[in-house]
Order: sequence, then C-alpha cells, then structure tokens
Amino acid sequence: MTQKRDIYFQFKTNIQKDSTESIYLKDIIELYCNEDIRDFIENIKVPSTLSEGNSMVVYAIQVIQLINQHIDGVRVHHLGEGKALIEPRLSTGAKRPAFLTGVMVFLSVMIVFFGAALAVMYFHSDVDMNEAHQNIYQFFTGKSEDRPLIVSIPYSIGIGLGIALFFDVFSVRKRNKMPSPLELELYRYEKDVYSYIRDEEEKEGTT
Amino acid sequence: MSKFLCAMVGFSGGLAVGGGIAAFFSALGVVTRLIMLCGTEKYHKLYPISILLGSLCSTLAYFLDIQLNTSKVLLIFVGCLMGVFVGMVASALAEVIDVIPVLSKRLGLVHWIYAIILAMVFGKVCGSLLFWLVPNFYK
Repeated sequence: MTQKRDIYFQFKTNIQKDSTESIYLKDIIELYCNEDIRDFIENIKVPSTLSEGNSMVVYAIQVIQLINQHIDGVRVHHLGEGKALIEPRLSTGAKRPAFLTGVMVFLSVMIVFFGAALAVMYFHSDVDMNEAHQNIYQFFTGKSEDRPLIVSIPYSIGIGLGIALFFDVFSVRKRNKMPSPLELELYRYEKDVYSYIRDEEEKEGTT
Repeated sequence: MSKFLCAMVGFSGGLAVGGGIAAFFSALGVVTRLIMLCGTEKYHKLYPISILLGSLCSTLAYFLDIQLNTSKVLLIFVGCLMGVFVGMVASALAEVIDVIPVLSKRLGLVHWIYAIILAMVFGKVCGSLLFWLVPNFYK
C-alpha cells in the first residue's frame, strides 16, 4: 500500500510560459505516480514570480513542499536536475511586426554580405594572393602573367562553394541528420545562456 | 661547419613551420569537416599524407623553380580547388569567432540563419571577383 503513495518527478527542460499565465505543476514536471492522484497533483498551482523579461527558478525542494502541502502521507522522489528555469515566453515573432523582421533580416544580410566581401579583399592583400596566383600560373604553364584570371575566377567561385560546403547549405547529408557546425554552435550558445541565467537567478535568490 | 649550421637552422625552421601548418589544420577542423561531409572516415589516414605531400610539393616548386608547361585548363581545376579550401578555412575562422550564431540569436533571426550564410557566400564570391577583375584593386 505504501508503494502506491510514492511519487516520482523530473523537471521538464526549456520551459516557457507567458508571464500573465498561472503556472501549474504539469507545466514544469514529468510525473510518475498512482493514476488517481495524478490529476490532482498536476493541477497544483505554483506561485509565480515570472514577469516580462524576468525568468524564475523552481527548485526540487519547492516542488516537494508544494506536493506535501496538498497531499498527506506521500513520498516524493526527485530524479535528475535539482532546479529548473522558467522563462517568460519571448515575444519574438508574436509581437514583432513582420516588416520589422524583414528589415532585420535585410540589415544583417547586408552587413554579412559586405563584411564578407571586405574581409576576403583584406585577406587577399594581406597574404599577397596575387603573387601566389602568378606563381601558380608560371608553375603550370611556364609563362608569366600579370593577371592570371584563369586561376583567379575559378578560385573565387571555389570560395563560395567551400563556405556552402562547410555549413552544409545544400544539405548534402540530410539523410543521416548530422547537425551542421552552425546548428551545433547555436545550440551550444543557447545552452550556455540558459545555464548562465539559471545559476545567476540562484545567486540572486540566496543573497 | 657553417654549412652544417645553416642546414640545422633550415631544418629546425622547417620543423617549426610544418608543425605550425599541421596545428593550424587540426585546430580549424577543416579536414575533419571535409571527412565528415564526404563520409570517408575509413580513409582518414590519407588526409595527413595529402597535406604533407601538398606542402612539400609547393615548397619544392617555390625553391627549385620547377615549371610544368601543362595546359591552362588544368589551372581552372586548381583554382577552384584552392578556392574551396580557402572558403572552408574562412568559414571555420568565422565560426571560431562565433559571429553568426550570436548575431542571429540577438536579432531573433534564428530561422533566417541560412539566409545569412548565403549572404556570406555571395559576399565572399563578389568580393573576390571584384578584387581580381577590377583593375587597381591590387598593385
């Protein structure tokens, strides 16, 4: 009989809520328990300090306290991470008008476009790519040429191809679902931000 | 004796530069990325040999004034391959600095990230073509 009163829970990851919504336990935890009390536990309200632009941290201890306040004589077991971060749902896309996104896309695309163009010129002047191409021309044909365009033009196209290959723009290997380095980098960055905020909130909470 | 010393200095310099090139290649991860893309993990031992031969050949050609007298068509392939490599190095460098993920995240353009990459691709190609085709861009 005592076994039936055991409750196991685990925090969900990437929890996002609107700051005006109230938060229930079902939003933040995965639960394993006896079916007749599941509904009751899942609908316990969590006191929220969430506001626009301010995330909150929920500790496993708080969850155990909450459940024990509402039901007597249960044993709550916690698995995995000891705390979870609840982020206010970002208004990106929802609130921002479409044309603004368009402007943003246009601007950043322009920055990257001209930046890349400038950077490649910097690089060519810096390493004296012109002389290198002249040398290659002489090496293969035996004649010297001031503007070896027959090397330079394929080379320029090759640069574009190389970048596209590196970031897997054409998705040559979609089949095996390998993440491209860019997706990895984005994932790592988001994870870093997530754990930073979580730990920072914890610090604020203790002081 | 002085000749021996010269040889020693040259040899050590070559060791340092060779080590530097190998470290540069592996730090940027261009070759690993290439292996991953082509699915040629089985033959990974060929790649270091290829790097070695490539740098050795170019060094020899540079110092010994070798000339091949081949047709110009070969140059198109050589130029293209060199371009692909430079493009990969450039994007590996850009990736190390983390510009694009941070930029797209900050501006909320994560879904548009491939548009940004394509902009980079065309930017590089246009910049490079401008550099080579417009007179007075280089001396």
